[in-house]
Amino acid sequence: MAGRRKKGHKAGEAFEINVTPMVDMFSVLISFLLVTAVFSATGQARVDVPFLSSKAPEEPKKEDKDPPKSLTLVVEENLVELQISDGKPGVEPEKFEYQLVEAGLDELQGRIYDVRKEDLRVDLVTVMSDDEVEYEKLVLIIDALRVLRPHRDPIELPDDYKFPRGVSEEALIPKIVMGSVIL
Amino acid sequence: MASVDDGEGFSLNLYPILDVFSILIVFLLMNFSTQGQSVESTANLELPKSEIRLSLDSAASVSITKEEIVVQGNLTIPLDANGDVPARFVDQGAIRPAFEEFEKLAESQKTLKNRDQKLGLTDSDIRSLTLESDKSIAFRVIRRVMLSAQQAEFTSWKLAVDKINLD
Repeated sequence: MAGRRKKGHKAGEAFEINVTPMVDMFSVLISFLLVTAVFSATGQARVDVPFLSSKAPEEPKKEDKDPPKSLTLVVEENLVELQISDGKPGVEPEKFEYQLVEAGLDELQGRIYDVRKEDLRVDLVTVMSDDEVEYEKLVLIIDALRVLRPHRDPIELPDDYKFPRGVSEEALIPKIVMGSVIL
Repeated sequence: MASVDDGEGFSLNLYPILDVFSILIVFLLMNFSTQGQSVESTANLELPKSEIRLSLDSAASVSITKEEIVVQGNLTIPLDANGDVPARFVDQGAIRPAFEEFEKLAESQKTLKNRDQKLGLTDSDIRSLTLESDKSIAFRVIRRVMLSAQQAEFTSWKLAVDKINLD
């Protein structure tokens, strides 16, 4: 480790550090890091499918007199339609169409953000996808529902709000149901 | 670069290589991540990119490539030339062999859960499956897979995506 003075050299003339052990150590370290590092990390987006049960339906709760808005996304090949329903029977839902491009998805997120901010009970979106829609486009929509764009402030939630397992606490919409997966 | 000292000795100048190694190590350490499961990459499976930050955790998995559906590494269902599930496998919208495989899986998951409960371990997420699908796969194939799993009471999916932001 310490430098060795070559034989025959006068004191103070030449002083060299032996760097070979250091080079050896670096080689081993680099090999280890290259083998163990995960450069292409895989993430997960959790979605649910409707589950039909043979159990009797639960008694309607009192708060159902003022039900939260229900959000449905109808996804086509290059278009996504957002339907906002008051949850009251016989009332047509409001419909908004967006292109499946970055700007359109940003607008879609903006609309959903406003609805959620207004009423924190709105935490579920049902996605009805056309059969021909590619998986990549579905993931773009799920991204818009889950990952808040940097120019939007996070929504403050009550302390006791429980996110479903496997969903980030920064998610705009915690519950996504693939509504079209049904017999 | 070799330097010759009047024929007295011959030594390699290792400082440049040391500099390169130092930079490389700093770069590798900054990007180092051992978190998350790594999905085996194949030529026919390219995951869609996503801004999701959550890392994939382990769960039974279904892979859909451009050519086949693989359930938990045990069962392979080939796709036809149109990228659809051949009609002979389809029953009430679901894929019959996949449903049977999911049922077996559900049974083994229940046994595991019972064992975990007896041991006092935390509740495991037994109703979840991981979907590793190629980004170009049409939803009709994914719907059939989800429907098959739904009938075996798997109601939750972890969609594997290629993270854009590496934390």
